[in-house]
Amino acid sequence: MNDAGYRMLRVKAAFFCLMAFCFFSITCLIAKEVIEKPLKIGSDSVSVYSKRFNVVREALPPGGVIGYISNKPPEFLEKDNAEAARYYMAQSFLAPVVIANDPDRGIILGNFSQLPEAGKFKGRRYKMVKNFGNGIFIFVNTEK
Amino acid sequence: MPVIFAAAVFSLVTGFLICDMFLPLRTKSAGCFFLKLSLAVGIGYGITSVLMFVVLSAIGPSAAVSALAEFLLLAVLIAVFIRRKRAGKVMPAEDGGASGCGKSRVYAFSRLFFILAVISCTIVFIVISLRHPNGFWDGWAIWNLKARFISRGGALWTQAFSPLIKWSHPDYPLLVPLSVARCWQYSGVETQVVPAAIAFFFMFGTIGILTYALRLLKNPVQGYLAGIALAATPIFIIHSASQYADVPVGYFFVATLALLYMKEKYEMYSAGISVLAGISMGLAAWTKNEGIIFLASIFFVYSVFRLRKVGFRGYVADVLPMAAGLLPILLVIVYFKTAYPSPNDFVAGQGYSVTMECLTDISILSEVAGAFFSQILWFGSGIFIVLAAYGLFLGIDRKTPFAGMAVTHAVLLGSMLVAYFFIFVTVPHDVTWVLRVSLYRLLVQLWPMCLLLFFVLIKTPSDVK
Repeated sequence: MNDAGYRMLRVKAAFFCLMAFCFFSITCLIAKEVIEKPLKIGSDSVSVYSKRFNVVREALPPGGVIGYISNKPPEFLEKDNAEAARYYMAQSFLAPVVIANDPDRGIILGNFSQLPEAGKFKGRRYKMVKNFGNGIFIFVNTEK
Repeated sequence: MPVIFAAAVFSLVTGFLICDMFLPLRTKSAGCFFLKLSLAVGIGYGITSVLMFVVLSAIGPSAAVSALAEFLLLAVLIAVFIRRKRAGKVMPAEDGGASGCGKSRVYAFSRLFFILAVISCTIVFIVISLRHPNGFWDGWAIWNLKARFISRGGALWTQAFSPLIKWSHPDYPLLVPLSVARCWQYSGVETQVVPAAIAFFFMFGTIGILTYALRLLKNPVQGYLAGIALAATPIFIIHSASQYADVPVGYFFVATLALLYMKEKYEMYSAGISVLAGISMGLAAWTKNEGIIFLASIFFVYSVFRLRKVGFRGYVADVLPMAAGLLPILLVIVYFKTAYPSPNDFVAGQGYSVTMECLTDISILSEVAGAFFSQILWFGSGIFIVLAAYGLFLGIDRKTPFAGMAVTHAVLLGSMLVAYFFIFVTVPHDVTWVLRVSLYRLLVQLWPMCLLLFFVLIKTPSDVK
């Protein structure tokens, strides 16, 4: 085989290697994302968690700023990914109300992954006005 | 649903007519049509998002006024199109790079594989979107959050920029959220189909621009190979479905560069293509803050190389139409940044002395450099290495007419990587965490641009004799 023949052979080999790699890559992607993982529409954590906010939206004012309390102190944003996700999801699905990560507002959204003890807020400045039965409460700050 | 479909078609047709007005190229093959269709995705959504922002800022939220503005723009574009067609200004068919390809087996095989790759992408995208209808973390926590503020907020839409939710990055530009909010407003329904569909269009648009620009610049096989390489990059497809803005901004990066290469080949349409490139640059900056880095870098790098090549007068003649396309969008961006100022946590985090400490800290420099090296090397499950080997076998096309533009492109790519490197070094957060969650996304933005440069420089299989 002459030089030109070897060059063409090299080009064909390179072309088919590239195609083989791409084919393998696409096949692995389909296997991993389509075949191996079960597809259960609407069962992702965000969709499931967000449903609890549908009725909450109706109970809140149409805009403005409200406060936020949860099982963790406000520093959770930097330390606790799961707690931060709950807060971000509350904000995302309750927009355009702005949810400040502090309880020093007139209206406060309580978002508890573990229900607080009965009477935890009794005698304090927060008066519970609505319990949605899923760890979400609305409080009014009696001092604001 | 029909209203959402109509809103998408409206954007697409607006974008297509703008592209056709400034690039009235026709080809016998469908390559030019598909390139314009791919460009129409970003330009259409970009222009309609800019219009919506202008209406929001001027008179507040009004779906009727936004729709009227879009309708008027479309009417003007249709009138211009009809007038140009009657005046014979729609250019006659050109070959567009398809000659010499013929009916070779390589062409047939690469075309078939491209179609299969596109179908595979579509299936994977749909499945991931069904599994994550709200997108991934930043998709629902940042981009769709802003869209909800805009579509639900009424007069309080500006609460999206409240400093009380600075974790949502109120400084981020608004092309994607406005595009989503626009469809939600017109339809009156907040369906997750909208952000997923917009993400899908941008993914397809990116593949389309890469494929069909290279088809026109080199030949169809090169275009299909580039499209296949992009479609076979798993992280690109997965991240397209995330509903983040990285793939859209990468779309505008590759669109701008593709147009600048087209300018070299089709000099008779140079002014019009420059306008489109200017629009694309502006829309990159309207999509993500990295687009602002891109805009500054490309203007600087392009100016340096262009001044050397064509002198001052030639440069001014070149840049004026580009500035004409860029300026309206730039004015909107400047207004957005000044009217709703928010600090960027990556840039505004620390003072001079802390920044200098980071820049001289060997451990931070080496950690960031190491992360860049390993993530680039293994990007796309090693496709970078495979393409490097492919390039070695085929060789660089030394006769390419795009050598000058390719050097500009390479310098631009290098300058963006350097800019990203120093941003990571000086970031006021845990650098290990930031590298883990952000670096791969910046590489996803740059990947289509890399593929464009690679396939412009490398010989096509038919070039090798």
